[in-house]
This record gives sequence, structure tokens and C-alpha cells, in this order.
Amino acid sequence: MTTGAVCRFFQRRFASAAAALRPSPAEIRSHRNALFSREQARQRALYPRIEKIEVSMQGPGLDGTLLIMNKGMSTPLSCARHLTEHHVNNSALALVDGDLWPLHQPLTHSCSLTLLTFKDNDPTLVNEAYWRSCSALLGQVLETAFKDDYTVELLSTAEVPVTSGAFCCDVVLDPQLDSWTPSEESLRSLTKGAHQLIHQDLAWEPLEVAPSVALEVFSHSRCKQEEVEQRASQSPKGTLMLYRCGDHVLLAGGPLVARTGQCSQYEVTAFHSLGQGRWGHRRRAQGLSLPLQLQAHHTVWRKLRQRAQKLVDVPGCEEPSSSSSESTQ
Amino acid sequence: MFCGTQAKKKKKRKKSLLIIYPWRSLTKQHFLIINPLRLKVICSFCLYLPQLIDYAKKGDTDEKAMKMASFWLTEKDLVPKLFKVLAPRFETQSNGYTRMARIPNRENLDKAKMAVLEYKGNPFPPLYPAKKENELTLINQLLRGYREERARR
Repeated sequence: MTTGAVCRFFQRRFASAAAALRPSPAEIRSHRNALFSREQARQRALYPRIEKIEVSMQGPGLDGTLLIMNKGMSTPLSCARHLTEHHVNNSALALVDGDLWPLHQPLTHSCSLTLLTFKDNDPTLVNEAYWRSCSALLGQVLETAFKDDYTVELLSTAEVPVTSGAFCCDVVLDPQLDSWTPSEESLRSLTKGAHQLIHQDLAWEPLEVAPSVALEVFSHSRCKQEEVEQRASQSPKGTLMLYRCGDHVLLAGGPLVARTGQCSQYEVTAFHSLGQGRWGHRRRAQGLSLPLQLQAHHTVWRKLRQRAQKLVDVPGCEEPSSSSSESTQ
Repeated sequence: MFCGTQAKKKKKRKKSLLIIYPWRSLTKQHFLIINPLRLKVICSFCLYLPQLIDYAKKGDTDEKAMKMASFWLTEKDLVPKLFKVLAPRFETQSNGYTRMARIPNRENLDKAKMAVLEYKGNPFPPLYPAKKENELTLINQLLRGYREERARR
């Protein structure tokens, strides 16, 4: 009896010690934020003197407009501010010399700039960036939605085309939550969390970093570190793009749109179980969103939302190792 | 004064295919007009526009048509234009040769109502440009996916 009590005592001590070793989500977030700010400040300090670059604008009504901007400090958004309020509010992405460029990333050389909106003749790239941004927002909501006792791991989601009907975010929750199935109320509260972020109108700040810095930022998460290595091996320049929204740092596969305020209708529609994966019980959160400039009537929205509740097949995603029957215990 | 006003009106009318008229009340001096938004009244004002086309349809060999055209058209280089360009254009139609579109009021102190009167079938860009729905916007792509899925079921 005493041995049992002693065993339980030590188990509880060790369990609390193990929990104390693992940092809380808030600490992880502040650590990543601090590293991001440090790297951002270091990159800004690379341009101590103000040097001028010439940016020529392309676009309807703008062809040939020449702007003199600051090197390493001016962003495509500041170029848009020199034009009109319409350009500031409506541009989602920029094309610098033919390459996609996030709106908040500083320009480093004289170039030609095109501002892309949702209503262009060919908004395919903007649509893809918007879908990626909504997925990133969903990931941020999921990371902050649960209590600090539960860990949430965001997995890398492959790109989903817009015609599939919903954007997804793959996530692995704490093992304690394996038997939890989200109800309508929980989906609605996740939607509310997303709307709060949208209302705050936070900017997605981009930062191009070397893989070593990214590995340090995500030092608490093995899954994220593997994703960093994979993306670094695939990228042509060997660097990665980190984005920060508020105080949440994330890794994205491509450029994101300018601000969270550009989404207007946003809803988390479903939370499917995918079965056991390498990191634990995989789940896919799906959502539907439309930007401020392309709002849908409620009848249309209801139909699209109903479609977004169905599971979206992501091509090329890693298959669960064991069957789904083992996952439900 | 009456002839002068008529000549002025006609001069403005035939100068080009696209003309701009100030529309004012009868009390003001130069232009006659009543209610720019009623086409019937416009036709009474530019009564000569369709009638001149009808005369031109008779062909330039017709003596009466040529006399009418050369009398009313003060700029003589427009007479062959009437017979060679405008008459063949409206061969199949019997009326409805012109179109009117209202434009913003004049910037001057009088803020006169302004309108554009044009012959149909002219080579200039349309007064009411047709709005094309872009198939590639996000909402249209989502709806396309929705429709394809419905068709597959």
C-alpha cells in the first residue's frame, strides 16, 4: 500500500516535472515573436543610409508612372499610398518584375510594379494567395483556441485549388483530445475567433529568412522543423518566407494577401478526422471565405457553405499509416 | 434669326458623328429644347436628321435629294459623306437612326443639362459599354466548382 502511494507520488511529481519542462503555448508564441522581431530589425539595419530606387508602375491608368522610393524600406503598399485610397484598399498582392511580391515586403532594387486586385482580368494568383491566407488564419485561430494545457501542432497543408470549395488546415491536437469531436457550437466559436482577428485588421508581415533562423524560430516543434527543411530544399534561392500576424509566426508556401481585414465573410465549416498519422491523430479543419470586394448574397453563401462542409481531398498529402478504426478509442 | 438658329443647329449636327448639345429652356437664346429625355420631342427638334437620311436613301443621282442635302448641309464636304456613308448604313432601317445619352451637367455656372446625340453604327466606343462578368474571380470559381459537383452527382 505504501509502495503504491509512493509510486503514485513519484508519478505525479515526474508528470508535473515533464509538464514544466514543456513550455506553454504562450511562451512558445512570445519566443517566436521575439526571434522574428530580432531578425526583422537585423534585416532593416542592413540599409543604414536612405538610398533611392525608381519604381515604375504598370496597370490600368498608371502605365509609366515613375515613383522614387527608398531602398529596403518602401513596400508596394507605400507605392499604392502615393496613388489613391482605392489602390491601398483594393490591392492584395504585387507583381515586381513578374514575380509575386507580398504587399508589405520592402523593395530592394529599381523595378516595375503592378498592383493586383481581386477584380482583375486574371485574378488566379490573387485567388490562390487569398486561399492560402485564409488557411493561415484558420491555423492561427486553432493555435489560440484551445486551453494552454493542450498542445496544437499545425501540419503543412498542400495547396488546395479554389474550385474544391473550401480551404483546409491540417492539425494534430493533444492526445488528450483524441476522442473529442467538435460540435456546431465549437465551430461557431472558432468562426468568432477568426472574425475577431479579421476585425483587428492585422497585417501579414513577410520576412525572408535563412533556414537556420527558421529552424531556431520553430525549435519547439519537430514537425515544423521538418517542414522548414523540406521547403528550404525545394526553394530555388534556399531561403524561406515567414509571416507574422499579430504575435503569431507562421510558415507559408507562397505569398499571402496584405491584411486580415481584406476577408469579409469567413466561416469555419467542418472539422474532419483523418486518422492516425506520423505525428498523432490528424484532423482537417475546413473553412470558406470571401473577400471584402466580392461579397456573396446569403442564398449563394448558404449553398457554398453546404459544399464546404464535405471533406476536401488534398492531392499528394501523406496518407494515414493505420486505418481509421484504430484512431477512435 | 430663325434661319441663323437653324443653320447653327444643322452645322452642329452634321459636323461629326458624335455631337454634344446643350439642352435649355425656350426662354434662353440659342437652342430650342424642351425635355431632353423624351425621344419624340428630340425628333421634332432634330426633325431633319431622319428626314435627311430618308432623302439620302434616294441616292445622289436624285435631283431633289441632292438639292436638299446641299441646302441644309452648309459644310459641302459632308454631302458625299451623307450619301456614301450614312445612307448605306441605314438602308435596312426605316427609323431609329440616332441615339441619345445624357451626360453630367455642364461645369459652367448655368449647370445646363447636357446630352450626346449620335448616329447608330458609328465606329466610336459605345456610349453604354457592355459590362462583362469575369469568370475567373474567386466567387465565380467557387460557383463553378459547385456547379461541376452538382453535375457529377
